[in-house]
Amino acid sequence: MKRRKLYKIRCPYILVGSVLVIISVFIGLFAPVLTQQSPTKMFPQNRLQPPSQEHLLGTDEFGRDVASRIFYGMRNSLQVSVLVVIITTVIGLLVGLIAGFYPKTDMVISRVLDAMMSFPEIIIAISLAALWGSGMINIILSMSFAYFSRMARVVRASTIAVKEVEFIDSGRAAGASDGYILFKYILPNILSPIIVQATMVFASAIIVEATLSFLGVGIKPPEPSLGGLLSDGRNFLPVAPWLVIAPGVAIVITALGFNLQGDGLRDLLDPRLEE
Amino acid sequence: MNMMADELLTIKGLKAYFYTRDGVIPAVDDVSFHIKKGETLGLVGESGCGKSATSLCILQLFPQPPGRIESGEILFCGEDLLKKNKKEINGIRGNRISMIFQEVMNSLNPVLTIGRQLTEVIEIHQELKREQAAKKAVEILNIVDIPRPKNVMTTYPHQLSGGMRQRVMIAMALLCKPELLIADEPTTALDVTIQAQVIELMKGLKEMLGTSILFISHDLALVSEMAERIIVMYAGNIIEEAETAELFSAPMHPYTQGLLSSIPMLTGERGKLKIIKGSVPRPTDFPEGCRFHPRCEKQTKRCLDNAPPLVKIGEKRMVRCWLYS
Repeated sequence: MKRRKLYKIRCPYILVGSVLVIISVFIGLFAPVLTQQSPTKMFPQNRLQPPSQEHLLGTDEFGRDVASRIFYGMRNSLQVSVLVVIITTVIGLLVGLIAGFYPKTDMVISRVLDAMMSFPEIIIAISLAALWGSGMINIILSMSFAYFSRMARVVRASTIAVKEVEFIDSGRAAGASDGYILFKYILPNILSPIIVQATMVFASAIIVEATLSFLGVGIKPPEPSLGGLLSDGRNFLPVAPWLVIAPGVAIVITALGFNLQGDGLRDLLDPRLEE
Repeated sequence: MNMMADELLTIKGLKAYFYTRDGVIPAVDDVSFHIKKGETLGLVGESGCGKSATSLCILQLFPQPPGRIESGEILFCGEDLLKKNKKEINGIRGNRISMIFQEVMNSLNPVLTIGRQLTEVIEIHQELKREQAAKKAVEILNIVDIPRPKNVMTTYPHQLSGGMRQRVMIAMALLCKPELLIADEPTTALDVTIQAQVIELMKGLKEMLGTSILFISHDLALVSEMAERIIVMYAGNIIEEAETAELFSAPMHPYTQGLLSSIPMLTGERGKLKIIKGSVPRPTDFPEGCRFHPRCEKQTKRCLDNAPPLVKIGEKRMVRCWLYS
């Protein structure tokens, strides 16, 4: 009964978030099915055409179909974000668990994390991407590097909190080793903040990826990406506004979806807000 | 020596200190005692007197840092537990020495089912298949009087009441038939009727399995129910050790006398309840001399300057007071 009520109250966030997330994931997954046109093939004779039946969202300065570029761009953005989330979660989890569990290592790890977190993530990501050069793998690595400290922080804090609860001692008294305590006792008990943090990282990864591509250090053209589309279209704003509006809307939908979902999940999984 | 043979656990000169910003806290200060096979030893004292710290040292659960075990020996079946490495200690914990805790509400992992937690203990220590482990777990739940044990196996800790949880904890502690069970205030968080049931259960189990028990409590009446011998601790020291009957009939240390006379009586003359004046000294600055002297009604000049030694009185009694030496 209680569960149900809870669900009702927090319904709107999660619901709206989920719908937006599903839309963007659907587009990303089924990009090749949704459009028959190639996202990279150029038709100079068709350049800068307004939306029509043939090109739903018009064409760009090289005559490429904007709709299919957005679909594939979405696909690339999601791909980058998923990998960033996986890498940050795995690394952040290990670092955070170790720092939280072994106070001696915490002295060093926490200082390093503090130092990393004093820079805005986007600055770290941009400088690393600029240093390593553009390309999908490079931006995934640079973004993961920028974000893992956040995840590690959350995991560390939750680990310290859970470590103090008596069942850890009773686990030890039953003969469980450190690894056993970490992965069987602590990890399952801190899953909810990790899930929330992962969703949050996903949401900002979408934005940062778009930013990097917009600035030209992201996904290499001619491969489409949402930020790249925005950046290319900006030059033709007065004559072909659809070149900017369409990818802009796509970014908003994806980022908003994941953000709402993150907020909703945080509220739903936070026991302190249960009343 | 013949005497040593039936000693299961012998603690010699154990010192465990906490190092805090406010100074050094001698949580356990030169504590020595032993537990015989099949015996129940009671350890009583006020909060912060070092009784829990002592028990945590045995299984090396004493938090280090901020604490540190300074010196001493903890001989279990003749082997010094303090010299064992992590792996060896893990093999002993839950297998040969088990522990149950005061906090029944938080002592079980909330995300695992009861069955999972029980079978895991078996899997850590014995090479049994999961079904066999589960069978064993159901058996042990039956022994601790849990109704419908098969159903309980699939429940989560929050679905059980406090008394049930403590039974599960006891079941978990007894899974591998340990030689020593350390019970750190096992009934403090339970209400009185459940308390009585748990005590009955523990007594029955002791008879059945022959386990030695180190029973820690601040409740003298409870300890007298369980224990054959009692050790009283005050401010990190053992101040008196005696067989239960003797301790109650003729307490020697003024602190023990104070404790016993501050138990309200149902029979006899009614008067104002006796109390021990003052409160436990702050552990960072224990008084010079006898640590109890500021609160003692029988203090003498000697108590102010010199700490009394623990002296043997007769065969089985020990007391730390200048009145007797």
